[in-house]
Amino acid sequence: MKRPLLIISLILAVLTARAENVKVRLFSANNIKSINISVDLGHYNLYADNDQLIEDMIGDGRSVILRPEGKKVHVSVNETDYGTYKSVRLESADTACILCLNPANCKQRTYEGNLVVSSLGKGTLLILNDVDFETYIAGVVQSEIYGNQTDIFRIQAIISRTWALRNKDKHAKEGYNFCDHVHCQAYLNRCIRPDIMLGAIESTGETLVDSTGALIETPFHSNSGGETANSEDVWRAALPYLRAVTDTFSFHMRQSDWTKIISRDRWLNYFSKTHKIDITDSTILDTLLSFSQEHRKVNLLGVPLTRIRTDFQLKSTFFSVTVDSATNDVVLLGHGYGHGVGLSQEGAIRMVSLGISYDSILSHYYTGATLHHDPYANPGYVADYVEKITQIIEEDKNSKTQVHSKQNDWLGRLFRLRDREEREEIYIEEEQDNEKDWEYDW
Amino acid sequence: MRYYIIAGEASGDLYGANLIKALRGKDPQAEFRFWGGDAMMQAAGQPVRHIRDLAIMGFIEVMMHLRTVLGNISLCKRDILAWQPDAVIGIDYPGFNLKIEKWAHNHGIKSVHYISPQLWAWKKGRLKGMRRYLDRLCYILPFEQEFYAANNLPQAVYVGHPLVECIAGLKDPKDLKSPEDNRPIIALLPGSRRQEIKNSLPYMVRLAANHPEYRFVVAGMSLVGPDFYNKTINSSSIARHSSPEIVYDQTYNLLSQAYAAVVCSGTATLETGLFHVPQVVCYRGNPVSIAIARALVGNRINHIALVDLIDDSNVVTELLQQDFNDRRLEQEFQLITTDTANRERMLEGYRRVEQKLGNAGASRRTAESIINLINAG
Repeated sequence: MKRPLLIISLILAVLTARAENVKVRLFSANNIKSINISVDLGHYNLYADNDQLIEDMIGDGRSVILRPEGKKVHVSVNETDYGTYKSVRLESADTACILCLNPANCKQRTYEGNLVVSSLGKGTLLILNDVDFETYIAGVVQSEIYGNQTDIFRIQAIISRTWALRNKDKHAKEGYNFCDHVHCQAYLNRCIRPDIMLGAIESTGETLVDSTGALIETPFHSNSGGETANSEDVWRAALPYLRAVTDTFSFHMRQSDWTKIISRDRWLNYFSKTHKIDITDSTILDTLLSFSQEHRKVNLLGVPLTRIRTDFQLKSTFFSVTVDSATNDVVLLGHGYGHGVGLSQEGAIRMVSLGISYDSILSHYYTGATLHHDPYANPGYVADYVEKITQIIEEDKNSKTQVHSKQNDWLGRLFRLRDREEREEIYIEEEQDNEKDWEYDW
Repeated sequence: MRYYIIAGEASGDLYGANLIKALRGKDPQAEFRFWGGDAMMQAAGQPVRHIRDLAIMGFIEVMMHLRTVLGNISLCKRDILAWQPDAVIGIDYPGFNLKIEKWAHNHGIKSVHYISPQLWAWKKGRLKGMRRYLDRLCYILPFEQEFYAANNLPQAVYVGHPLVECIAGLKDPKDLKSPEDNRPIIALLPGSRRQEIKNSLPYMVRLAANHPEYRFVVAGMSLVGPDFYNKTINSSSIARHSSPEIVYDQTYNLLSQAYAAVVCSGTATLETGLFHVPQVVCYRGNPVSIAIARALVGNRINHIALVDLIDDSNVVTELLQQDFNDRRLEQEFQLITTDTANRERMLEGYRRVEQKLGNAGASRRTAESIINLINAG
């Protein structure tokens, strides 16, 4: 009986593991009052309601300005007023296209793929990036992790892809798949680093599944502080693959340790007033002022540590309490950053630097989960050019100029390289044809 | 003369082997029957029982293996009666040996205990019985002189520490270094008892996995068996990525070439000190056993590592129970490997310990004492 179920689950996993384009809401944490859009690479066609073409082949040097007007969007291109529409769509006209988005009240960002803009009313734009799934994953990887090694990007791509495939309907009612904020996964720019793109490409089709073949939840955090947390100690569900594990690889990293000083009165009043704990009891007082965690605990005198973390804005729940004898302040000595469940990103970075394989790292943090590879997964539109991407990475390593600009962006260079080779191939073919013709004529 | 020697642990086996040689030097007609390990076997043939079947430590562990312990005591008494030695010599291993020595004394056989139990720390109540039933007590730590003088035990004699001669006698250590791997060696000494190894080795494995800049080598003991080490190491998920090497029965070779060491408390802390290797001392036992031990010891002693006890100072850092965790071990490891001042301070402490221990010759002095005792009738 178990075998047919397993097969069905695996088939479902394979089917769900494929994805083409996704819609991601950009600037989801901000109210966008107006936005200036320019083209960094390639050309775009601008469509309004019902596929009405307003402008075609918008390229470098031209800019589209959009602002909400009631339930509609006002459009102008290079100061030419095109009126208002329910929605507008910037659709890429070339294989590789990059848009530069410059909202009035936010930092500039760039994205690949198409852009669909409508008005949410109340003077706010809804900006959706309609983008190839793997391009989205590469952008998420860049936003979610730091590092320099391909395997760490591969690891982040696998857990981000697994999460995205499992949660692709999270914002279905609102007309898109994901927001660009940590509510879903951070997607704060397109991927501007070719090494990150390479890591994402290498992981194409790879996801994490449980023993039934179903995609697992893949929470991650910045640094475990030396021990990860059980899922039920932070959230409700006890998931078999989210177990506490000893994680010495998270020592000695950027976010390994932290200290927070809180006045003794504020600390004690918090427990007394907010949680009605009798701080006149000497045993209770002693516990509050000398609480320690060799291993992660869940509560302090019955108060969930997750609640304390939120209320005091602590980096983690993995802390001990001491009192500074000089100032009488309460000193929290903490470890790690984040909720502590699942993969510790800095632990994984350390493990990669030690030469530990990416699948071993994943199995270290996700107990009993296995790597599933879908051979039919869509690898993304740049996956055919791995050799050229590698060539660009090598060129960048040897280059003195490290500042990123649209002129030296890897995607533009990749397609210029491709075009040049294609032209050379055509030239050679033409030359050969000419020779044949000459032989024939002669 | 006939000598019945009982050693229950690896260190006792080594001292027993040296004692056999020393007794033979003074008494060429000497006959031996013994409980011990491979070292004593090399010196005197087959044992009555091998130490691999004996090592148990701590209250809970002893209670769990009570039937085996009682069975061994009974076997030992029958064997002594049948062989009729001139003296029964127990080496350390007090829980077993003091019972046998009392019984031997009551049966008219000279009872000798070599390496005094740590009465100055706990179980001081044993003094009365030892005063009555021991014909000779040979103690090895310099600070014990004061204790026995104050507690009226005239049969107690100071013979010096047998480790000094063991280490002084080490010749041509086998070179563990290789041209392909010139990383500094870190010796991991997880103890000689299975319970100790099980409690300490996983922490050492995790430490090793995080420091590829060093070559970590476990001082294994063949009597414990490779299967047990491998099983303990593989219980850690980290072990799949990088397991430390294991060398068997080469502790001194290893220490003679080590840059630093992580040592489970015991005789090994002193051995490491005598090899001038900076160390972190760690111990994690059954919490109930430790609680009982703490209640018995009270505030009488401040240290557990032998180097600290001998110098009565913090020569090394001791990580005990809850303090023996991954974080503290990592911190202390950094101090003994990268903090030059800390390493030098520790080495200076070792030099003080060496001065206090004095010269080699513990086995010779013990042998003389035993022969004099038997000859005195």
